Amino acid sequence: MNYRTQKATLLALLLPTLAVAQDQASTMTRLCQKADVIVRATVTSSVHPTALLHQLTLQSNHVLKGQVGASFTLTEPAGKCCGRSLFALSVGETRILFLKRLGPTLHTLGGGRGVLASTPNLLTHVQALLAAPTTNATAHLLAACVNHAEPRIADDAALALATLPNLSLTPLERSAITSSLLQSVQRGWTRTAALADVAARLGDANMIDSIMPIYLEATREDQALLLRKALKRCPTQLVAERMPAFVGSTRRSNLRAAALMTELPAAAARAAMTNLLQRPNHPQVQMHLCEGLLAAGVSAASLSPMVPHAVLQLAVARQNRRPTFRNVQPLR
Amino acid sequence: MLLIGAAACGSGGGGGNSGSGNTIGALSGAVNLITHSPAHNAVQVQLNAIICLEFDTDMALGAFGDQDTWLRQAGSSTDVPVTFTRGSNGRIDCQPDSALQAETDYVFQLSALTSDLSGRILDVTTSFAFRTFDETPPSITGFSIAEGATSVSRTGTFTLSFDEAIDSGSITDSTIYLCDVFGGRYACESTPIGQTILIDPFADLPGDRQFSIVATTALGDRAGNQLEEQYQSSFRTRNDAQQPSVNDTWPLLNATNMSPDLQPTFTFSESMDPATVEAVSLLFQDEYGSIIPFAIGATLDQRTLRIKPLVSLQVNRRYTLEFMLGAASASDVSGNCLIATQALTFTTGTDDVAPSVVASSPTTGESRVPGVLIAELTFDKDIDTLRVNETTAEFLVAGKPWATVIELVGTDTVRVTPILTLPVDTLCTLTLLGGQNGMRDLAGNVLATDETLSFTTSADSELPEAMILPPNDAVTIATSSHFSIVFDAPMDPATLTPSTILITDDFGNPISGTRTFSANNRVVTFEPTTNLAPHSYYRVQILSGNNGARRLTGNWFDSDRLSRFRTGQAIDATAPTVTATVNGIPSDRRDGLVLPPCGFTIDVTTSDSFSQWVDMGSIDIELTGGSGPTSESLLATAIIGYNTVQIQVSEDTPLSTGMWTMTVWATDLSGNRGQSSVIPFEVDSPSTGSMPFERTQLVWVRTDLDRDDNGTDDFTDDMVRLGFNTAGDPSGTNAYMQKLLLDGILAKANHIYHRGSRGEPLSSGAVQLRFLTREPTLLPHMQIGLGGLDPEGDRTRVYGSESTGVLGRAYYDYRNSNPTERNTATSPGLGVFPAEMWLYQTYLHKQAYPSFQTQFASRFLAICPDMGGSPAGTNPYDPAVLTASFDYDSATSAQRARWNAIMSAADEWTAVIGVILAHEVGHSVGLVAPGAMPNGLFGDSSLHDTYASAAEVMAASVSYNAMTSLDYQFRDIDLAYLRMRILLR
Repeated sequence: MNYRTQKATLLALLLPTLAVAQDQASTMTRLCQKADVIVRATVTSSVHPTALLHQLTLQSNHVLKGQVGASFTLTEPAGKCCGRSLFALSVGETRILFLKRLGPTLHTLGGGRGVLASTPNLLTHVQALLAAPTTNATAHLLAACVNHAEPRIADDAALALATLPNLSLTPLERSAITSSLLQSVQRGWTRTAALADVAARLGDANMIDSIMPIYLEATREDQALLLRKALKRCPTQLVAERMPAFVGSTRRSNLRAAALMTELPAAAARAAMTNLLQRPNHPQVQMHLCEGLLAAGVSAASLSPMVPHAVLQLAVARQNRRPTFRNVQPLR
Repeated sequence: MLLIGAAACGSGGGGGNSGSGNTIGALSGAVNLITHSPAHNAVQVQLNAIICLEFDTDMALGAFGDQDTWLRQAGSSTDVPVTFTRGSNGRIDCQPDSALQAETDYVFQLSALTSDLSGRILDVTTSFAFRTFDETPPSITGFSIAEGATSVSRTGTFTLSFDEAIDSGSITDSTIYLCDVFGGRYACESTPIGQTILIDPFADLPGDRQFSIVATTALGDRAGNQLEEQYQSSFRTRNDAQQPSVNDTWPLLNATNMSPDLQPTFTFSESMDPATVEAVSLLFQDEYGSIIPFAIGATLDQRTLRIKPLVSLQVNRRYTLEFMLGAASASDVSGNCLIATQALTFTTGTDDVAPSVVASSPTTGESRVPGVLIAELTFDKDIDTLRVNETTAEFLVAGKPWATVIELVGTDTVRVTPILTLPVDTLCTLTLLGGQNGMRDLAGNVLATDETLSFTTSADSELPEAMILPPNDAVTIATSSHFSIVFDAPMDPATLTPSTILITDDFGNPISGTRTFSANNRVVTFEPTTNLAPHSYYRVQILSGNNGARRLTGNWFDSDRLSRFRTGQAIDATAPTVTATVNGIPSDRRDGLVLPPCGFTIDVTTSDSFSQWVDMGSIDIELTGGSGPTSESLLATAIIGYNTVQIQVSEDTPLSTGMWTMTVWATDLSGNRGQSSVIPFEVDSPSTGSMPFERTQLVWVRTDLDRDDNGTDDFTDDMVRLGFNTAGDPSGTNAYMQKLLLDGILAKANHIYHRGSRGEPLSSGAVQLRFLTREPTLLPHMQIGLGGLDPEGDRTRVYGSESTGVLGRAYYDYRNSNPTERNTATSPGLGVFPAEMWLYQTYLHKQAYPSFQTQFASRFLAICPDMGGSPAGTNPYDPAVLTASFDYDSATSAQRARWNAIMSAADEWTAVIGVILAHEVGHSVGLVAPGAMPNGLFGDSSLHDTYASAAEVMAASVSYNAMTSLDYQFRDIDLAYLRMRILLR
């Protein structure tokens, strides 16, 4: 069959749209705040009043927030769409729905992220979020959930914690954050991003002491990069002061330490870099530290007694090297 | 079975390479340029030549009108008018509309979108250069020193300029040289650089002397035309009245036990005239006054002279070398006499044996050397540390010098440590120089000949890792425990011995017991003969280096790994808990599970009673139902952590079709065995189905849409919001920044589809999908909008407004049935909406700043105008900094800082938007079909990856921070679908 002809005949079968959501903007915590109505409801009918529309009638089982009738309808453009996940619901199915009132009608909030399976865990969590009287109470609730067995709850807890206006956690809760972060780094999860943000926001000496070994020993480079970015947003003087206590003897951890130090403000990191340079190290670590110290204004002559000539020579040669980037190519 | 195994490549053409260096051939659905004329770098091409292209199929003539197909003069951006005609058997002729210019370099480029009659494209941009007929000899246009100049530096370099590049093969000591008025030639290094030749004399030139630079008629251009007449230009060097002095001597004054074979050296402050060092100027005698006859050797710069005795020195005798002053004294190249110098005295011993290498790591010829190498060569005697440096040891990687630290370890071992990690699978050569300029022992006996050690790095770029159980610092370990080591890759069993894995008490005494290997030599289990002593420390140490434990690929640990732990009082009799899933699907959703024969994952988690550890090397996966992989083979490829195991069933060991059950067992260190629940599932058989890509899917990423109707395209609106552009373009940098950002976004999206930054396929694993910044000529393609706010939200939102939380939307097209989707509509709102990300990130910033700086703020505070930054184009540095020609090397630190700030923000933003673009386009080519096989790809009800915890492109939701750092990839089964290695029926 002619390629173009065949494809053209299939045009009519196109299904509607999908969307990708910004997860922090659609956590259950945020949806609880923004929704006018939160209801556990069961689909009683599913129709297409026109070719372009899909309409569900639902029977409300349990109103968690706001007011809604015993039976109500939700209408969306027809077809499959992650932003409008009603398309996936069939008669008899029960969901927890986060709804917003626009004029006289209700609409789902947060796309598919606002249509949850009606499991006991999720229901309990939503009820607990709604019952939290203060931001602090919400923070404690979320911190208790960062290791939850239900991934959506654990992910959401980490994401929401990272965006709470005020963040004050107990030692036990901090410990939970650390253990969750360690697990997330080991498994290569995206949850690391939010947990690292939480850790950076707490950002005191204890938390830095907790993150530092996870960063230095992370198996995956991309996870280490996330942690490095978080550590860079902690108080830089504190990071620079704490780092030497955790540097081990392996080349990888020392390279990580050097990478972090060279990216911190020079004034804060100079002493730590010098400290690290004076320890026995692989030449590659020495070279990175020399690059950092040179960039911090230390003269090559003063570094000369501390490192082999070849190391300093390479560091000097690389000093004026144009940085490269992963995606953008400024010379093109 | 509804999934079928399919060939990765479709029809393709098996043609050869183009001859211009591109090697990606025979990709699925790709056209191949078999050959072309003129060949790359051809010379003497006729002015009326036809450029002939031969493809492996008949081409669509209209495709040659693509804007990326052109003929240009080298360095020009103006196309030469040409006419294409189609011949038979895939031949295309390109005839310039008028004669080419003589003696001119041309470049011909063929667009990646060049297609055949059925829509298959070339998929790689191909170019080649040639030079037209040239019968004009080269001529010299200048010399860096004016004819007849005086007081010319004695130590500088000279540059000879030509009107065209000179053939480097014609540059020799006899075709270009430096001579004085007496006809004496002075050795130089002549290096062609562009249209010049740099001439660098090795030694200082004599002062106040007439010199000539001579270029003979044997010098020629690339076309073979030679200089018409010999060139000569003269100059006089400046006067030199500086007397030379001795800076250094060897051996040291009053040295003893020196070799009778030694050759003393003197190093001077400037180049010396070796001919002036002779018996009347240098007294060389023994303690009895016997004169030692000698000859002189000199380094190229003539600053170091070596005294070569012409008779053997006696053992145990004292010798003196003394420069004599007066009219006959030694002098520099200008004739200045040597300053008075202390006599050098030394005494010989009896050692006249040359040192030799007795051991090395790696050994020569070794082929599995890790990239993180520390090479060591051990001699049979002590080595002179003065001769252990970069002048006596040369390390070449693929024939090129590699920066290393060379040092003497102890007294007899030379250690060479490459500063940067070596590339994989590359031939490396370490040469220790022999002879008088090379390595020597303390007595001065030199290494007889060069000592060369050649080896090849392994194909494995990673270092081994090991999980030792019990782990380091563990306490209260049951006395009934055994030890377990789980490596991250198969190990070489010959390197897992009691001398490489030390299992001892806290005092280093070995523990008796039995070692067993399993899981393709990834797991070592040690069962002590008797129970461990209570309240005692034990150690497990894995030795590093080439004599330690090594991967099967050869790579060894860069440092020792150690676990020291303490036992408790009791034994452990409690079995561990074992939980297993398939594809992470929990038990309440796995009824009726249908799996493909391979590609799915088995996830295991374990837990044990307090302070006790599960032996993760003991995981036993029992699959019952037909032929399939063994537990050993599954574990051999597993990702194993403390209490977790993840395995992806490989296509090399598929399960047969039918009904299966899976049970997972795990044993703790005390031997207690736990069991998971039994998981039933079905494996379905393959059958023929359709492919998502019959031709390379082209995706035009449109940045020209104005869906908020504000008179400016949405992409530009984003640039201004973020601070990459400034309204009014005050510095003329907006276009550059837009191109930078758009190319960066596409580069990221291309990487995710396993293509290069410009969309070129990198291997046979590249997905047949190519992003474009413009509409392709005559080819069917998808379109997707990029820029602005979600059209389904309020389009008047500004900084501080609420985001819809929706970052993009696109048609879902099961099996990519329509390659011409238009994801550009306003209602429904389709495309990628970067401004929604901006809105939410700035919302977070407003909440947290200044008490906390978000990752977004750390990049955009400097440039985002609403956050108080200075957008690109408003800073005084921007006109110089924001161009493709910005010279970082010569820039000021302030310019560099500005450039780095903007480029870092751009790079991060492109990473984020590139992932979203890849995600949305993924939907439009069929991801993620919901449900299990045969019709689905384990997508969830919202058509995203189920339970996406890792950095998966098709996760239902994404976060800014994660996308800036994590390596987002398609889930294995999604990628297999995109690569057409599995098909949906």
